[in-house]
Amino acid sequence: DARRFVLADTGVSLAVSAAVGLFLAATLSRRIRRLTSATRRVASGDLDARVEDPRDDELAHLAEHFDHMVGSLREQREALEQRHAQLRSSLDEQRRLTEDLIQRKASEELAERARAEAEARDSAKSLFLATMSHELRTPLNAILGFAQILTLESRVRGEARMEEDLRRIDAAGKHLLTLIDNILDFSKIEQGEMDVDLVDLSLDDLAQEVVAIVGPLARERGDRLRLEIADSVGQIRSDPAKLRQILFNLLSNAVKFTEAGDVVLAICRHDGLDDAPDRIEIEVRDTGIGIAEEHLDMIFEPFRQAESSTARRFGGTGLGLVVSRQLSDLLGGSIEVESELGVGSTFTVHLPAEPPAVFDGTRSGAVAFLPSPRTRSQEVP
Amino acid sequence: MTRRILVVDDNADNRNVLSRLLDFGGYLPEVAASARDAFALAEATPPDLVLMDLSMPDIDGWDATSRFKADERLHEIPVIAVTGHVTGEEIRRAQEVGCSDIVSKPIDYYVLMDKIRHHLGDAAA
Repeated sequence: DARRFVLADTGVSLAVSAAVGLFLAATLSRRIRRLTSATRRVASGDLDARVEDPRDDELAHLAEHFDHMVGSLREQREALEQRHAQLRSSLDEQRRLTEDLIQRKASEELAERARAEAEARDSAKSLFLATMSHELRTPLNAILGFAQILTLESRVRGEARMEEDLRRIDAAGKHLLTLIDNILDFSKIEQGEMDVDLVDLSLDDLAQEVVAIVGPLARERGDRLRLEIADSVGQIRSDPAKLRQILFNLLSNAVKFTEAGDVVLAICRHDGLDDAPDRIEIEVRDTGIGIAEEHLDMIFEPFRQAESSTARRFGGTGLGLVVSRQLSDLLGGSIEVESELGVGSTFTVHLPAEPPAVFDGTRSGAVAFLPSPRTRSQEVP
Repeated sequence: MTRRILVVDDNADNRNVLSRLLDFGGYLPEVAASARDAFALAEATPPDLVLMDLSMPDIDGWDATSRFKADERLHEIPVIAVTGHVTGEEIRRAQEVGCSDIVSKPIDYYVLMDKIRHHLGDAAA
């Protein structure tokens, strides 16, 4: 029986040992597989992989160190990624700043080029206008010159009818000359290139000269053109070319917009208050079509007439009043207008009889030249 | 004796107009199309007065007047400047080079005659 017992015991022991051995072998193999699998995941870039072996033996230590190593790898990678992101955003910022700088420089460059081009265009425009003005004047002067020769000769021969036609040529030519002057003056004033040449002059002579030029146009339209000048007006100090231009523009406008009516050029002088120079008041009154109140503001704007249909009906460049106001300003004066639709208009120019010192350049020498004698006044129609 | 007046202008129409007006006024016009021609004519027979266009190509009216004034045979001859667009600057420069007066285009016969008579010291032509 004892032998049987021993045999049985040994058999049981063997069986138990085998079972335990098999169990241990299976557990170890599983733990190693986990480790292997984690290693594979880390190798493929997954730093979240962990073995987490809770036991306390060599394999568990290995697993613990492995987990620790992977954790520190992961921290380093995160730090690297963060640094990389910082670098990228700082690079982006730098790129943006550079882009801004380039844009700013480009727009500066563009503005500079535009300014240079505008300057070149302006000076080309001035040169063009000056040249055009000269080119237009030369043949016009010839026309006016020959008309004058014919006038003198037709007088010798007593050809009165011819004389009348020649006077029309003369008046139309001088009118054209004034239109050319308006364009040139406007461009000069716009560019700040207009000089003022002050001389002592007789406003009476000047007014008669302008009335003589506008006369034929007034007769054509059946207007009565009258000059009322107070004896007290006498000599004033001003720029004759500009004053002539203002008077002509206002008078020819008045005649243009008046049919079979009255146009009056009235000039008087008022004593200046205290030490102020005397004031000259030049009034151009007409009984023409008048200007509607809502249009009064725009008549002094460039290229505008009270209504666009006005330009078609009456012609004109729309610069006359603009230039007249600009020239009055240059002479230290002003222009104002009163008007009633269907009744007529009154333009009033206020001028100092002697402009303030700032207007006077070194031109006093100009008076050494003979002033033009009053010649045309005998011809006023 | 008829007074001789030299017209200096590069533009043929201007020369024509001026000489016809002078002729009508009783003067004897001579014409030169350039400052050089004017010197040649003036040195051969000095005129009584010169009408000098200011804007001419090559030698302009101011330079030409300076040369007239520098020539001792010609310097006493009055020179009247003729200009298209009278500005203070043109007047000042014309005076500086010795012009006696200035007339503007379009030429007005009465103004022209008045100035010529004045500078020739004539009561009437």
